[in-house]
Amino acid sequence: MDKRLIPAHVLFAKWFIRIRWIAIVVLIISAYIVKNLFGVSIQDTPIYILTLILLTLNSIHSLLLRWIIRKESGPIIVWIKREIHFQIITDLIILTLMLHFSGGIENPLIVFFFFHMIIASSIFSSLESYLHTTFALILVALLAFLECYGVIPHYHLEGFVNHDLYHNQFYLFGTGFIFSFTSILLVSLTHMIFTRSIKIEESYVRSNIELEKKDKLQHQYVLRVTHDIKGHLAAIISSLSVVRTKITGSLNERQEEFINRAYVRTELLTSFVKDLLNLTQKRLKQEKEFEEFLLKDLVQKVVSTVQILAADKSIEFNFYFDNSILKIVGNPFTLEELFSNLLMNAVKYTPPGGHIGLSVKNQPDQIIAEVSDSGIGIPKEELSKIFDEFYRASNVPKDIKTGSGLGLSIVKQIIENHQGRIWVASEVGVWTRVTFTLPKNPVLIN
Amino acid sequence: MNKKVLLIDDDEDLLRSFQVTIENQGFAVYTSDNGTDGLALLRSEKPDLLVLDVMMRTNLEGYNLLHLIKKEPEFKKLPIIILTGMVGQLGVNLASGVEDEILFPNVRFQDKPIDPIILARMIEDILSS
Repeated sequence: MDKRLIPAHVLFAKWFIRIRWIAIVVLIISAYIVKNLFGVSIQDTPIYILTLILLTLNSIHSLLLRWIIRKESGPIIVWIKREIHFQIITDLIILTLMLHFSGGIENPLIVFFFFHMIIASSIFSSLESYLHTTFALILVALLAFLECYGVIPHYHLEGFVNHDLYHNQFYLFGTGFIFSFTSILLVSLTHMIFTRSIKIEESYVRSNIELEKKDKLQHQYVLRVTHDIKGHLAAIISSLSVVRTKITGSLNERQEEFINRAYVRTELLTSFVKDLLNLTQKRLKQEKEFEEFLLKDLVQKVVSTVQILAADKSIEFNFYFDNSILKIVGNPFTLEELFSNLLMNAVKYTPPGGHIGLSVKNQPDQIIAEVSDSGIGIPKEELSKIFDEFYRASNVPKDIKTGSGLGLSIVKQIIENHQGRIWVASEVGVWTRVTFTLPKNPVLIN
Repeated sequence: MNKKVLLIDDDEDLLRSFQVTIENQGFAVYTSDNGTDGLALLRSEKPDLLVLDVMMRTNLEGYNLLHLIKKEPEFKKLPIIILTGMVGQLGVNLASGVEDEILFPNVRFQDKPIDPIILARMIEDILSS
């Protein structure tokens, strides 16, 4: 079985133990209420003692489960299943004893046996669940038989059931038949439903693994192809550059024009291929190069570059950095790329005379940063698409040279690799605000 | 006498455009499209600067060549421009490794692709200082 399915069993066993704690509390309260408020004659002392035993048993189950989970190797699922078997068996015995002290077969609480049948048939094989059911039916039959023939005393529920039914063989036979029939039906039904859902879950997990594999293969393919294309482009642009710089002799006006056109387009294509390569590399390689570093130094470095660009366009740059942020864990190279990509975008899409801003604030486990600008904005209906690959906003003026359409996809990938979150708000023609969080101590994914 | 520059890159077209441009700046340029010949040229011509593509597919891959060069004390002060597709992480990791281990004070990393005229100016800067 796939390792990813282990937690389901653990969760189940844990849930079972938790429910039992609640049941213990409910048992004590209801035994008290039934006896003292409704005046029903139940044997409260033995019931309290049994509750105490159940409490002890549940503690044992809880410790056992923790011990199994902590184990590094071995057939963990088998052990957890055995533990659940053990839980069900002890429960059935305690439940039978409880019934004995509270009216035996006359007590409608007898339906509680059904819970264990459902639980057993939802996680065990049909043989195992029928064995549990048989065990429960034997216990109930034994209880009814021994009480009926006076081998053990019968504690009548005075004040609840007014006629003695425990030695009415017709009642016993009828109840027993319906009880057994319902049990078997319940087990086979539950088993059928759960087997199906488990199969669906397994096939879901399996196809997810398949998808991830295919995704990886596709990325590797893109990586190879773009790497090769980049090599050819490098040769083309170099050759064009030789002619363009007139090393090979002078050019007439028209020759120069067309060489320049070819050069510029090749340059654009090269930057596109570089972005695609960059994005694919980040997708394929989960961050393995995390280190601890001072965030302020990194941000300051990016800010000083952007400040020059902003000043050239007469854009005001407001910068705030919370000095209580010290070291964080991450990849300083990709994070530098993240800050610079977002700030460069802000400068690019803000008209001269506008303003941009960066604020980096401290929170207990993460930092929250905001890049804002008074630029052209993003139409509301396009906000959800701006992180998609190759997406370019529809309202970008013609004179702004758009990039590869991959910049924000790269940004998003960097954030994802650092287990942060990113979102955007904007008003067309007025402002845009990109907000993102970065955990100070992201967990490395292998 | 003109200063000598050795170019090692497995892309012949790239090599040729670099050669023409750098020669035009007044340097004597030697080229090799593989590491083995490159190493031989390095020993025989004793260039003043080496431009090395580290991502080559031929017999002596760029990094291997770099490690071979580090073993020869006479190349300790040789300025090297390393062309790489990954200046980011790898380049800097390598740079720090190179500095600790090989003690090349003059290794520089340059992202590929690079315009030959920019490479030529870079070489000029390094060799005039």
